Amino acid sequence: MKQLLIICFILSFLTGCGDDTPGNTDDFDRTTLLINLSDNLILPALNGFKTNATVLNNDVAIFLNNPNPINLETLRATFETAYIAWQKASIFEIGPAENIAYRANVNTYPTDVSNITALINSGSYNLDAINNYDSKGLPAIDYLLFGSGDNDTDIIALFSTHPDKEKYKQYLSDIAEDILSKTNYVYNEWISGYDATFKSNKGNNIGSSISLFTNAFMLHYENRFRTLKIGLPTGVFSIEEQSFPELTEAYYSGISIDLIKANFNQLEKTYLGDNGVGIDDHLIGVDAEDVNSEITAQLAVIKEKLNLLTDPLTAQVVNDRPQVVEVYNEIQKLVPTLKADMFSALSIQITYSDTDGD
Amino acid sequence: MNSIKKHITTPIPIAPLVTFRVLFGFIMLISIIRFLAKGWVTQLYVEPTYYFSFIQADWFTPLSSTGMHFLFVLMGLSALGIMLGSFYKLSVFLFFVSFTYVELLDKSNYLNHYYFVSIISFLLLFVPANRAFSLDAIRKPFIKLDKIPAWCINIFKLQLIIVYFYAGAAKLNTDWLIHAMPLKIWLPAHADFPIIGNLLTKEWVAYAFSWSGAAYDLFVPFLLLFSRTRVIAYMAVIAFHLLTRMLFPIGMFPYIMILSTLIFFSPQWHEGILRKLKDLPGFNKALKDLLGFKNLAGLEKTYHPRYKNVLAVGITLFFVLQLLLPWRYTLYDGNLFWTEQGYRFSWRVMLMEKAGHATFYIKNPETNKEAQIDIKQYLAPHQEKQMAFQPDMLLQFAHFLDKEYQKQGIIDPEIRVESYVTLNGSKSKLIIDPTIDLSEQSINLKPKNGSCHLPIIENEETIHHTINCDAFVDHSNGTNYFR
Repeated sequence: MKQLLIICFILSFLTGCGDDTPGNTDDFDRTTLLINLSDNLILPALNGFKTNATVLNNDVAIFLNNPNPINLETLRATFETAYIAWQKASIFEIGPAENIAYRANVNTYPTDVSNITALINSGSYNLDAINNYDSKGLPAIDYLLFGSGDNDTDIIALFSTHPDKEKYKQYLSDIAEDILSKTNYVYNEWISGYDATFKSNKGNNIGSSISLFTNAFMLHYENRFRTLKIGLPTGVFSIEEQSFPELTEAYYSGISIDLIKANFNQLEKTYLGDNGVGIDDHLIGVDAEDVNSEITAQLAVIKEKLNLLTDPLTAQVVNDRPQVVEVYNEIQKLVPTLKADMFSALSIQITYSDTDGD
Repeated sequence: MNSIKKHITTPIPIAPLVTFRVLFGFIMLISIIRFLAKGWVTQLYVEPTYYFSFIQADWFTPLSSTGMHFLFVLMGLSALGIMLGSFYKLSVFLFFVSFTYVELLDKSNYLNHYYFVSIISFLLLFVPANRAFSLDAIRKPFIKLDKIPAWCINIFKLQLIIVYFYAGAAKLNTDWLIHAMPLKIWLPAHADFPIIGNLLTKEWVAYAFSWSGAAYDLFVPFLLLFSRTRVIAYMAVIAFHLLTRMLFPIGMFPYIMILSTLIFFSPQWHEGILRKLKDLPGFNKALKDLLGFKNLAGLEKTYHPRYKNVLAVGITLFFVLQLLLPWRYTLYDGNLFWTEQGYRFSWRVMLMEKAGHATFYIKNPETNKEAQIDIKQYLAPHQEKQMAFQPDMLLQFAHFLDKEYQKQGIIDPEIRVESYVTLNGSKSKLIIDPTIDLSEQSINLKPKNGSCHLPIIENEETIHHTINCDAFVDHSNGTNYFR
């Protein structure tokens, strides 16, 4: 008996210390949820942005070969399409995207104009340095194509007649290429291995796909969507009730509202699982229909309220701040429902960290 | 009287205490290495800019990054010292002080098992656990003991009985027993669990787990006491703790309990284990003798602590306090699970599914302008998460914000919080009256309702027409908790 106990004891350590591995039983379609998320939402979004980033690179090359108003217009249009496509890809910051800080690489704003100028003048730079994140990506292109001169002639001049035109060309080309290479990396990593990992890791513990995914979703909704896109420019954290239009996304091109709407639509679409199994079905599967209906109702309210935003947002946050605050408040209302009720119902830990529970 | 005396003064073999010491030191060493390896020292005690300290004093803050890491290394070395029985008293003292200091630094990291570790290391201070099978005994063979008074072992058994029994008693509430909450939420999420995954989605399984979990906690310490039920009870200990380890992210706690409860086994059993260890190759005859229990010098057979009476009174008081502390919640009104007044330090383990989200607002009364607070500027995610549903932490943070904004030149900032909390699957509701300026509510241990300290919301109506101090609202909607 004693020996048996000792064996039990040792066994308990050997078996217990490792994390439990998922087995093969059916579970509220969490597998179908993961498959649907990867196949119908994440991959199409990444692929979509990849295509756009490729076109963007081509049009950058065309413009740089021949800087003229027509090519600038084409490039700007391509840029805007790409920026909207980015809004769909950006909400999935997990796996390879998280590993390389994809979002921070592609879309850190406000962009640091003085640093951009310094980098261009120096002619040598490491775009992978963290302190250069705010000098590259889409916001830097936004600046170069829309804000680097007082008018289109001045902007074109930077790339055609300016003494440092070669440096400007090189920089624009480099940062466009950087976006594409990061995107290719994330996409390739996803299809070549992470996809399978994602679909098979179907537990609900910390580190499981559903946990990573919902946490990334939450982090995006609360920080990237609510705070960065609307809260900060509106100055909701300012005790002087002061707006900060310069913090607006796409400050120079002024397409902020299109971006906000595209980002919101993607969040909503993802929640609903597009036409397949989404988080909504998962909630229903665990008898939390009430949580789901509250979320869907509030999503509808927000969608409606977003129409209160008027172009350009940079002006509206200054001239019509209360209206934007109203939009912000509706977005805010959903945070506790997601963060408390949804996570609780799905029995997923809100955790950007993995400390022990009790 | 005699039987009580039997449990206190009867000389019994030292072996159970020795294995307890070795295993406790071992598992603490592992825990600390794990803590360091996971980078939690930095994450929990270096990165945050604000800490929800248990001790409200400006000086009571974490050390520098180097300091904290050094402290954890020291803690690890003292755990090693406990395990090997080397400079035992110093090791136990350093371990107890450093561990307890760290635990008191931030309420966000409070875990019952950390509290348990503090208590055990405190009790170890008073027993001669290094007087056999230890480096100390090899160094100074004359300290060796073969017997110690029974209390030296029984205090640990008593402590374990308290932990289990109170954990079981805390489960005797309607949510746990009648509604199978929160297991009804937690278990189905493990549908992918090997073999029994499918079962976990069944409602009756949640009930079975709830009831058997409560029964386990209530009875297992007593079944461990008696030799006839001990082996089966210990099997249950292993099964129960491993199952919880696999289902929930509870870290080292299951292992700590699996090892600690071995103390219930007979001295002969422990001597057998230690003898086997001694017989491992590599120990020569002389070393074996040194490691043995027999006092070679024959100077002292049993342990006679100094200040016996002081010790007796002290330890008695300690256990009286242990027995009373979990009941302090009865001094407070309201639903314990909602208000959490008197919740900690009471062995309430994995009792509820509670989550929330708090939004703080600051108003400058002079300009009448108001802003939301960017909590992330001050708190790490784990702190934000814990604070959202714990009223005392919300109040503590409000006071911190009050000071912060005063520094920024706002003379009398008004701090409000809008915190939505869900408890055991209920729809999230406000936990604190969002119209109240929390900076005006004092922080102390007095009941936080009806006395103008923390306006926890207790029913739906009060929220609308009272801004007075009775606005402590219980949203439990008819759920009566066993009090």
